[in-house]
Amino acid sequence: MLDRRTLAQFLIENSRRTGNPLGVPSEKLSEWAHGLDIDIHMNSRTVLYTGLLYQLVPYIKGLESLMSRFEESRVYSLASSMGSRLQSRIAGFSADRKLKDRVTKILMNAYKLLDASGYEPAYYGRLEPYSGALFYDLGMLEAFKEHANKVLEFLEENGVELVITLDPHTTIALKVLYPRFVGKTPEVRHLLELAIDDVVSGRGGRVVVHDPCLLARSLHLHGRLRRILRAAGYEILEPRRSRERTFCCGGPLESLFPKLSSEIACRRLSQLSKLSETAVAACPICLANLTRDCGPKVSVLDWLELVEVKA
Amino acid sequence: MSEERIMDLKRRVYSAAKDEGARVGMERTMEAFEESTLHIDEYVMEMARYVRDLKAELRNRMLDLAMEAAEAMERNGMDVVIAHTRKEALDAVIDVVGTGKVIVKSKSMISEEIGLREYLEGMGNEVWETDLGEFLLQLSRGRPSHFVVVSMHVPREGALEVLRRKLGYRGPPDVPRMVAAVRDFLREKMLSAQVGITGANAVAAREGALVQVENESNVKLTGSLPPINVVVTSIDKVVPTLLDAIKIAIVESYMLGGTPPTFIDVVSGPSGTRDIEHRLVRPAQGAKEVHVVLLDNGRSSAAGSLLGETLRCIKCGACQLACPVLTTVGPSWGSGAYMGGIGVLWTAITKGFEEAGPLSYLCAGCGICEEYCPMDIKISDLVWEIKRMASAKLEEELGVADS
Repeated sequence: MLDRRTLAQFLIENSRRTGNPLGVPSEKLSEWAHGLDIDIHMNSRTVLYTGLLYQLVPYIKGLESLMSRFEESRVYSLASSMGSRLQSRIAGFSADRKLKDRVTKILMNAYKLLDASGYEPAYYGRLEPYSGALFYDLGMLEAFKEHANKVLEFLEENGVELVITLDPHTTIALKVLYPRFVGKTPEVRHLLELAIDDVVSGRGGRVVVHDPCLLARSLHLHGRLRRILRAAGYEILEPRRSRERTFCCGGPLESLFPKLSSEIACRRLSQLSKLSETAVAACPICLANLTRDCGPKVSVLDWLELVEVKA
Repeated sequence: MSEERIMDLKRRVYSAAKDEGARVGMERTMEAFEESTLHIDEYVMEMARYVRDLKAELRNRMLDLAMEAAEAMERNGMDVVIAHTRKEALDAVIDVVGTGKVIVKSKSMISEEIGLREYLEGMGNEVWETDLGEFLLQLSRGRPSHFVVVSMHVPREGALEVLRRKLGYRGPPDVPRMVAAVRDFLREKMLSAQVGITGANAVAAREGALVQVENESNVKLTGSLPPINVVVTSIDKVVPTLLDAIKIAIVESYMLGGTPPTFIDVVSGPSGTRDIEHRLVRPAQGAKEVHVVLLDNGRSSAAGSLLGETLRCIKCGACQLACPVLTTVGPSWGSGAYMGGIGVLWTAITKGFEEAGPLSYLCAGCGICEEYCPMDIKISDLVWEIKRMASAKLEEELGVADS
């Protein structure tokens, strides 16, 4: 089993080496944008800030199978003795291919929605720093603040006036946590807060909504999510626990209690499967944690896989 | 904090998460809870807001109010001890109880907090839990998984097995028959017990009265059938008036079950009668003596701290039944008496940060507890603060600088 200290060391060393806690080379995290002509808006005061979270999902999944083997082992590593062995064993993990393609599509769709709605945001690719969200979840405030400072510097250097974010964790970090613990942030808007209603379309059909906790309870964007999905032609089904009373997917426990997070995910999947075979979420952590096969017949998609720019 | 403690916790919760029976029990309980609390009357919510504001205001004069309550209860003929620590509370109870007694006891988180049953047994007494859930836990040597629905992790199949094994139950596997068998068994204990130990949901300072809310009627019987009644409760439960105390009882009941309480008991003295020539004779039908222990155990010093607003908690347990983590791992996420996110906070208050730190890592920070809390306690945020304190030392050791 993995202990807290080894985990923290792994995350911190990776952050120092690569800027993100999983140690993924930064160019891989901006690959999704290769097909886009992103340089054209480089002087824009509006920036698309992904916070790297969606891009990390395929790597979280890749790490998961390695970690679960580690969790099965009876010995546990105290950082001094086995930490470095874990480090080297983990270093070779690779991204989940399918998820990587899905994430590329998700981010492309986000970018295109912005473009079509006239926002013309700049995207800084591999220069984009990590938000620190994971460290906050682990109560590691100092590590979180280090990341926050880098993000604020990055925003200031580039004269950013409006930050557009795509996921609830990154959004909360910039909107609420940075001002609380570090300093003032430029205006921050989640993509769902923007006027994209007129440019959306989708395949249509019935989908059950899994509200991400922070999106509903902290950002209160569950209504907007439904509105956009309806505008894109979907019929919405509500599970037993929805909107502000949504049931957590268990994702935030993934790093320290991976088995527990999968148990909770399976409970949620079972609740969702009672209504539809297709569920929609709006958070990379939910996407990573609810993409698993544990019985209930339901596949969870991100809203940005269901919603795209009208042709 | 040692990594070993977190690893111990991890082993415990992993093995708890594998318990299919417990999961079934908790899933059923949670579903029933969600249905029953979908629509709570505005008049109850208004009362909840009143209690919230009142308790927020009382936080800094908790000890004074406890003294006032103690004086009033003494005037009413009860013996009162304000116990500052767990040990003082146990001493106060053993002073009354002694040894070699048969004791019946209703459910009380304060008694869990001080380990009262185990202590009394260790001192040579026979103790029986009279709340059905707590009785099942006593028989199966389990720990509570919830403030109120203590045995929510024991499904009907598990209850049947325990009753067959420990009580020699030979009846059919249907719940009413099982409950009847427990009733017969416990009734005999209640009638022969020399001491009945109960708790309280709220205490009225002005009237010197204890308020208890229940559905089983076991609190009533436990407190009144044996000649001596010991009430173990805590100083954060003291409110100015009896009306305030009753409001708390009403709110608690609605928050968990969506219905009014079946019974609200008020105890403001030993049983007595003046029916013959208006001279007081004790007892009449109930207990002859009532002894009250008001426990502090960290509460008054927490009042001015970061965790102060936790003291508003009325222990209705709505937050616990909504929690995806607690309803997956049950009692393993707790320190004996206090479980779940709110349990992390109560553990910090009553047992200290060392004990609470490891537990804080099990909170996913999803915030559902805050959505359900009628006292508006920022449970998730406060648990994060404990996590932060637990992680601060680790960060220092790993060389993450304080900027």
